[in-house]
Amino acid sequence: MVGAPPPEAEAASGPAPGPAPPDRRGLPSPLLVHLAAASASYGTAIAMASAADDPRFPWAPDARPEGRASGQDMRATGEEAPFAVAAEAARRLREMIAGIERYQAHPWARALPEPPAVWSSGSARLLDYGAGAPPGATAVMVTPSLVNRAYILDLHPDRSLLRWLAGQGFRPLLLDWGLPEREEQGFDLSAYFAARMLPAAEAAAELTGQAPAALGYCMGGAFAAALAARRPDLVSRLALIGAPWDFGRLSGLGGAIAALAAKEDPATISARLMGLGEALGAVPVDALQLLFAALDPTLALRKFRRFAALAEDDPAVEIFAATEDWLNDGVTMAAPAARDVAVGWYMRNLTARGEWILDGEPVVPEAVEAPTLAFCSASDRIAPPDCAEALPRAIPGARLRRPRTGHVGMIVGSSAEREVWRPLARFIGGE
Amino acid sequence: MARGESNGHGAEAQAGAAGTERPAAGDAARAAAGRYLDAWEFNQSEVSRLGPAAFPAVVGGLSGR
Repeated sequence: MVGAPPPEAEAASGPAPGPAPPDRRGLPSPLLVHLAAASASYGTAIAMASAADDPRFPWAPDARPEGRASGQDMRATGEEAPFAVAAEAARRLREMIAGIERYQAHPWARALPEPPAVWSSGSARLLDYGAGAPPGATAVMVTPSLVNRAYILDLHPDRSLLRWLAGQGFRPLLLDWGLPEREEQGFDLSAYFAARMLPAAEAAAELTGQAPAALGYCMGGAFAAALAARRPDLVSRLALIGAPWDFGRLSGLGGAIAALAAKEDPATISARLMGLGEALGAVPVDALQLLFAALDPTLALRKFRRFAALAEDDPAVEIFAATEDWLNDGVTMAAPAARDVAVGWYMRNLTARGEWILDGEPVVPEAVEAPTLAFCSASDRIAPPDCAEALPRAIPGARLRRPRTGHVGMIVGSSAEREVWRPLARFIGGE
Repeated sequence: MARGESNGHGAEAQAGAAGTERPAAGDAARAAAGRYLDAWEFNQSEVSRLGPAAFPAVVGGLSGR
């Protein structure tokens, strides 16, 4: 055959190569912040080691017994103790770096086929994960956050909530917001709701001939609740996963950061964000990555040390690489939308005060009539329990589940199917 | 690190991981240091989860909105 390679060459070339893994140099972002936080943490640990059994040592309540006992053990070993702590800290830092290097070199590359888009407007698309579903299959419109890529809901062949739901006989329709292009760069949250979410929900209803269930993840949960409150004809059931709502009830370092930000002048914060948008087109990914890193500064240290210790054939290795790729594949955010989140949500708590205005009217969760189920995790740092549970508490008759996994773990964690996916499917199915 | 999660960083594990390095301290000191840093890492996680308000003796008022 003309142009066909000789048999030897065909055999030598083997199967077609898969996609190349992403260039992970400089990751995880912000790498220098992660390394500095780890070094600073261990530096402080070394400096304070001799006081570990002192009653004034700032152990958290649950860490106190083991911490004090270790201090007594170290005291019993005399002058060798501080050198042993320094050596152990250095060894652990090397473990973290080994974990980072392992991630950077991992061959994983996401290559899941993208389902057909059944609607689009600007950068936003509605992706039909249940195109082969039987007629009358219960449809569910899934709305993710605006600040991360939508594919966390379809991360990996073995960890895809959307494909799993399709396998259960549902018809998932993913609202992928896309990156803010020219039109969306001027969008605030209200514009995203009115010009993207509402038309997408109308298209989903028309396409499927029913009012789909609405599933919102993270800040997509606030949008889904708004849709259910505003357009009950478009939402048969409402499911929320890790959806923040009452920003006066944040906890942990996130609460401390928000409290500090609340002392700033909202007009100044707003002007800074809008200035970023004017200069760069949108608020850059790095700004959000820094904020996420600040919520738990030594998380990277802990998780990359654990990653370094995983066996080569452990399936968790590839899931870790896939999840890290997603975490590092952040999105820019339209400046007016970023302003609404930073000032309207975090500083003014407009959501919980009933003053969040979308498309000219306040969002009133008390108006939601659809049966509602919310998943709020006790270990969620993005939407801490008190913050997230405020939304189902405001929705009449809403049910609440508290999965034992974190914000991202609720979607792709090893226990996600048991803790979230199965109860979610039962709920969407009418239970 | 989750509470109670072991790093397996006793003296033996550490000696193995250290490769050709000479031990800087005795087994007991290394084991105690490992337990201390296990507790320290868990403590850092708790600090981020609970926030500075949980440690009034160290930092106060940051979350006092």
